[in-house]
Amino acid sequence: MTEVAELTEAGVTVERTEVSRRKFLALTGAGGATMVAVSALGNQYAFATPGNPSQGDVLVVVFNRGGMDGLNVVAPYRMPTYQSLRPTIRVKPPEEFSGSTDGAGLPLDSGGSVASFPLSGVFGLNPGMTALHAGPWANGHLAVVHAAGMPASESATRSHFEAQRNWEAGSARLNITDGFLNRHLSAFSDLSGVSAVGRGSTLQALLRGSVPAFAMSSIATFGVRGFHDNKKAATALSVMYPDNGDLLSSVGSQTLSVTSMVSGISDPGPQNGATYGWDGLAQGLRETARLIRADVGLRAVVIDDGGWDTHTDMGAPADTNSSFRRRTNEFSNALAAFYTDLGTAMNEVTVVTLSEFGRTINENSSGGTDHGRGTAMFVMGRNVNGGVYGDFPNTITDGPEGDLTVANDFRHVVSEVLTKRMPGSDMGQVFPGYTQMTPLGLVNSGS
Amino acid sequence: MGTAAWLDQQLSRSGLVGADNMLSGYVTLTNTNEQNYQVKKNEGDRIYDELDHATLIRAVYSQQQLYEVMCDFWTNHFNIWRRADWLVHLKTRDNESVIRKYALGKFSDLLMASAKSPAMLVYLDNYQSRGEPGQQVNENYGRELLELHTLGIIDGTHVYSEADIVGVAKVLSGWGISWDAGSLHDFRFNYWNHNRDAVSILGGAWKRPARPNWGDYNVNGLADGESLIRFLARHQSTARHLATKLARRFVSDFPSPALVQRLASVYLANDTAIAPVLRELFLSPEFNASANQKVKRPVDWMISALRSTGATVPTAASGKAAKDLRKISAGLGQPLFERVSPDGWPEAARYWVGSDGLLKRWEYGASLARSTGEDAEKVKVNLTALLPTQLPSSSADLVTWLGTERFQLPITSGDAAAICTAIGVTPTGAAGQIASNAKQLQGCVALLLAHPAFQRR
Repeated sequence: MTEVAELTEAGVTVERTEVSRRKFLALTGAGGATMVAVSALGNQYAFATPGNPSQGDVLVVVFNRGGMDGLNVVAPYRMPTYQSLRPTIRVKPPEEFSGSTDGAGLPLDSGGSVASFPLSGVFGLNPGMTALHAGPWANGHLAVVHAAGMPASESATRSHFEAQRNWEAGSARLNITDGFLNRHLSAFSDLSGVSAVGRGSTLQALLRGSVPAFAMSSIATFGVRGFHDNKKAATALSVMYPDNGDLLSSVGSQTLSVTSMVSGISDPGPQNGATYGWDGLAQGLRETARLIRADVGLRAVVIDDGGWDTHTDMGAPADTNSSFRRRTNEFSNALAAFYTDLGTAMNEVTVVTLSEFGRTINENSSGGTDHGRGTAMFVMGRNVNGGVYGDFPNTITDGPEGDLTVANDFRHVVSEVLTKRMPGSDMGQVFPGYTQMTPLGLVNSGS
Repeated sequence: MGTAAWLDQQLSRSGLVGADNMLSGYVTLTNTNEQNYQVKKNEGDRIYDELDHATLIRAVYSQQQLYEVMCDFWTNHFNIWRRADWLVHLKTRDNESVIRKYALGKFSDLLMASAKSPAMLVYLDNYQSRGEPGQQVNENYGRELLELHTLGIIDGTHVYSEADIVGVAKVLSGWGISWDAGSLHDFRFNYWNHNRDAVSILGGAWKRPARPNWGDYNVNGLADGESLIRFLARHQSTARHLATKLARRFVSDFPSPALVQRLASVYLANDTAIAPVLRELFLSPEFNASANQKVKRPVDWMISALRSTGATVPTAASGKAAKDLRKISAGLGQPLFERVSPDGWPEAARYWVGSDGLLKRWEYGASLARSTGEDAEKVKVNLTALLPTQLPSSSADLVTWLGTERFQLPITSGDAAAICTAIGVTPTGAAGQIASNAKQLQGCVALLLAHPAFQRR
């Protein structure tokens, strides 16, 4: 995490900037001591940002691992090619149903509090996504960008591992080894406490870099535990783990500086009648809401959401038990519960979803879809302008490689969210080599 | 015994006792897929339990340490997530008949066995791939075969194209599993699903003509795939890819290109035999200089903690010890057979060292040190057996002695003093403060297991 220079597999030395890390250390007194004072705030339940609005939002990134089939999450359900290339797995529009339209795609039309937008009426959400449709979408707090991805000019890979690396690094350049979210955070001099959390037992590449970020599988277990005297053990461990630039030692030191703060968080339970499922995404979001309320300095969270590598047996969306519909249902329920739980606090929280690629337009002979290119992204929050944004091909065809072409650079979406909702970083540093474009209008600035 | 002699004994395994004699009653390890399918239906978690605990018992107790380490390496290289559907029972056969059978043999044989392994065919969907006219092959296995198992992506470049992936998927279409009683779920070439197109791979480096007629694709379809697998195993990109992974596992997260090149050459010169590559690797100056460079992977840490404390691990596959260790290996972050994606757990520390895993190591180390064996079904450690016959004069000296002699750690005087303070003894006081008090001795061992140097190897 803190190598000044590291060797790539090719043996090339890559220089890394250390400035922001030093800045952070200066602020924290280069050790655990000042953190103890911060931890005294740990039991407050005030929402994190109102006291200091200049901090900007808490950013929650959900990474849909495996390559989300955007075409069956946000389906261009009336396009003839979509219909012909996905004979058994396609989402059907309401007009194909006689009587009840349960099982039809959920229309993404203008209306209600949702403003008009260019792609109105083109798409329907998977019928499993009623919670997201009835809540954030109906309230105008959900934006969709389809055909999103890494432009082919930079990388057209269909490898999970390369594509995830590229998205998380924010670049296909191999000498960029830290995550774009960490580079963004490194611009802020006021970080303290638990500013960045990667949900799980290991830190996501998005959060690797100079700013200390904490892998956390649960709030309850994030502490020095199991010793006869945990407090004294922690003191001994902080002697053995100096923050000396060595990866392991520094992770130990930084972790010890925040464990007492996290262990002080109690659980008021979900608010506003929100109900979370027991899946990993839902529980990750539930604990994210707790961390946000607990005022521990949180600025960014990354949560992995797996199970999107759907090569087989996606099933018919009208069937409530079909596997892909159930997957979208879980995803939608988790995001909607988080939105309900935080209520007006969603004025200062923005959720962005990423996935490494979309999938082939045509279904394969196993009833699934193979690795493709463009996929769908969501942005959710009360400062989001609900709608569908960006470009989408007028016709989608089973091109030479069976893809939905990438029409929107995912960095176009992310950079707008970062610059408007968490302003302060230089996009040239966050996304090296990416040329800024006019914002799509997904989110508003300010509170 | 010198290093080379030790190594040769480990590579040949001759005279070294394995741990399988401790696994009596583990019938699922030797069962056929069909038999294990019945076990899965009737006895729930037994298949998981036996595979997991057998793996740990072998790792902790087998004298064939290098073999066990290589089984782990190939398990990760040919990773299969065993949760989905049939994989619950198929992975066991893959473990015993693919990974363990060829772990120190020829990679070409290992790759062939993996390509025909029902677990792999199901995990990466090839058993469903349909290549007959009018159908579209499933590319999943073809892609991972090239990217992960053989040619690899090195420094962002790879020698194959998207068209090669489709070509490989075509040649391997029809490699599926049997549905017949007597061979249920075993490998079978389903010729009617085999694609009949002419295929050229890597610009014609491997190719086959079209196989349009029944008598042709029925006879040659399987042989075409076998020929392709053998070709891929012997490709120089495969050699470099495997050499890089081995060097990264055993020497450094950033292995030197020179070492990688040497290993790749040995691999090709020995017709994909694995043992000569390991001999070159472990006798290299790079390996010799690699002590304390690598952070132990989570399960490796757990096994090293069990071994260095002399723990007794009860062998009941569904017993409390087995369940505790499974929970621990899940908590540490890289549980056995549970990596969902086919790339296996990442190797280099920067990809996985983090707060949560480190907190769990400290916690589980502390809990291991407190495993005094009141419950005979649980893991037990006897910490007094770790004490020297003659106690040193002070508590700090005893902490240092235990760290150095029992755990091979460089203990500074600062470390020793901090440990003494944490367990409530005076560093300069008599060593008996620790040696005669269970709680203090447990606290001392717990903190030694938590020492940063014990996280490395």
